Amino acid sequence: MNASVKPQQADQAATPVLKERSHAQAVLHRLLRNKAAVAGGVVVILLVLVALLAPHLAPADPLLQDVPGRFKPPSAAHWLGTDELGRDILSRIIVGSRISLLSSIIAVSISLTVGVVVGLVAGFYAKLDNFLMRLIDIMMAFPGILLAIAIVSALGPGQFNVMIAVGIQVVPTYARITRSQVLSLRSLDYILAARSQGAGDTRIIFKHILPNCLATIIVYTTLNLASAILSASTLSFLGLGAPPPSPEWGGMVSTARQFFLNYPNVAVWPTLAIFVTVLAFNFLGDGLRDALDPRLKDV
Amino acid sequence: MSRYVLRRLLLTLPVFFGVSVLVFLILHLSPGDPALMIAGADAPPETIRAVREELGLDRPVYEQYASYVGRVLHGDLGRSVRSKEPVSQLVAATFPKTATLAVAALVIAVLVALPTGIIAAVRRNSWIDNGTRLAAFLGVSMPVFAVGLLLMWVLSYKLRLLPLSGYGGPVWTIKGFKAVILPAVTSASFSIAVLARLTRSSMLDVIGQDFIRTARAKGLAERVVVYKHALRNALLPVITVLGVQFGGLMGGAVVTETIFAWPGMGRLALNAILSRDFPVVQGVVLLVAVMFVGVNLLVDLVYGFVDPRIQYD
Repeated sequence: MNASVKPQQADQAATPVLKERSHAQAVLHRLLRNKAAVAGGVVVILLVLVALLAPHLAPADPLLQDVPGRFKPPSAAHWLGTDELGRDILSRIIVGSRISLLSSIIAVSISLTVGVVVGLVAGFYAKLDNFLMRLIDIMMAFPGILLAIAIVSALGPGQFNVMIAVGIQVVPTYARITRSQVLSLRSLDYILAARSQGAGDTRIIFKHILPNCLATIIVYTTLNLASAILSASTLSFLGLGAPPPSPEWGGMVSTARQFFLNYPNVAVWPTLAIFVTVLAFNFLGDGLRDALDPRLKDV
Repeated sequence: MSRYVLRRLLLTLPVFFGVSVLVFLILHLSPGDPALMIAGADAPPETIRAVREELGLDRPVYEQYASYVGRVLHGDLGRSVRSKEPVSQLVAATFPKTATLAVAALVIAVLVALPTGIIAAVRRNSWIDNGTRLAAFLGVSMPVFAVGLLLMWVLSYKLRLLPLSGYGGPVWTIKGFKAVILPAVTSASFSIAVLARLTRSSMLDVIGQDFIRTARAKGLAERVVVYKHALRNALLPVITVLGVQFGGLMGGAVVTETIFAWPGMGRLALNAILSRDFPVVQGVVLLVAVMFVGVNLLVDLVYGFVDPRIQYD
């Protein structure tokens, strides 16, 4: 029966199955099939909404003290209980989401701008490559959070300086990734074609190379947001970030640490907020990476 | 080979130079007059002048840098502006404690992460593999201070198995050993997650290669294939990352040391930052950075010997 089907008919029958998806559709399809990435994405969207609507969502004033009502366990009046000064923990976490998210977004924006430009220039101009990469090596000579600590110590404690410190700390990641992307793209035929048509360096870099690096940059931005939140909250935990009574999550845990053994409730909620946020960005970033390049799935 | 070693050594020199410039600049990047910050806003002018002279702040910057490097090369890291003690002495007293913590954490990380990563790769997509991947995700998403506080609350406060905080003496004494467990596990948590993920992916990469198929086709036992042929090759990238992790443990010790009141360099640096004691901050940052570069250099050289595929030219 099948053998009697004419080749032309067979082609027509196969057409709907073979219909090609665009690259973006294929990426979205793979992303939506990854349950962890979808969950991460949903949590990130919810967090952004909470941060945007914080003043309307917070059930109480995050700075309003009620000392007789301190260290209250979760109740109908205070869903997550109260802290050492009787302030509503839920309200502080909701309003604090603004500080934590905004700090990490600003920090990552700083590193994104500086790192991508350095990476593009280093990858495109071989003469500058060695010099710029040695500068990046110097930045990477400060392990872990040490570079951020050194910068905060120079600029002085405070939330804005924490953002700058965390931003500078992440610059090498962007610079190296962008550079490696540029190096792999630089010698491809389409760049040669653009050049032979008279395109200048700036046009080639921004019109032909940068758009092809964007997918990787987006993945790393998601993952870097996670590490920026971790670094910023760690610096605040050490007392180098926003001073009290600001409801910054890391700072809240830092204060709660003094009463932690008897009243763990006060420290648990802001810690959970940091953990869930970082986990959500990590799940989303990891899912995006797998969706954009399925070969990296096990890396 | 000697060319490779020489080239790698030469590449380290500009990094050391850059590190010294950055550490030197910690003091000079601070907004305002460093002498005023150190002496205090309400200090009399003669005190401020004395501080300025003591730190050489009245000389041109390049002269200050040259004299800074000269002093550092002679082992003089300056004096604490608070306690007036030599920074080298403060660092020497705290360094062994931080190093103990970092080495203990690295040992724990390797002992936990390597077997876990190997088993996860060998039994790909089993519950062990899925569990390991999830645990690694949780591990890199959890702030180190949260791990420390959680362990402290459960193991020290509730179960009373280990001391709450503090240094208990050398690790070979029972008291010292018990005291180091919680801080070391806390420090190790992030490294365990990173190393387990890396070991797993590196093993998967090697297991998929032709020479493993050949080994299996020869009829070798699976145990020999996995532990002799695959593992040796899979461990190469892990060795490189171990150097980075050790540096991270030295530099990141400040969090663990703060939680567990561990008298190491991290706590010394943090207290110095909060009291604007710049020479101490500079001393600790310089030492950790130089050590980190040194460890990475060593790892690269070892890597060059272990893996003949490394290009020596």
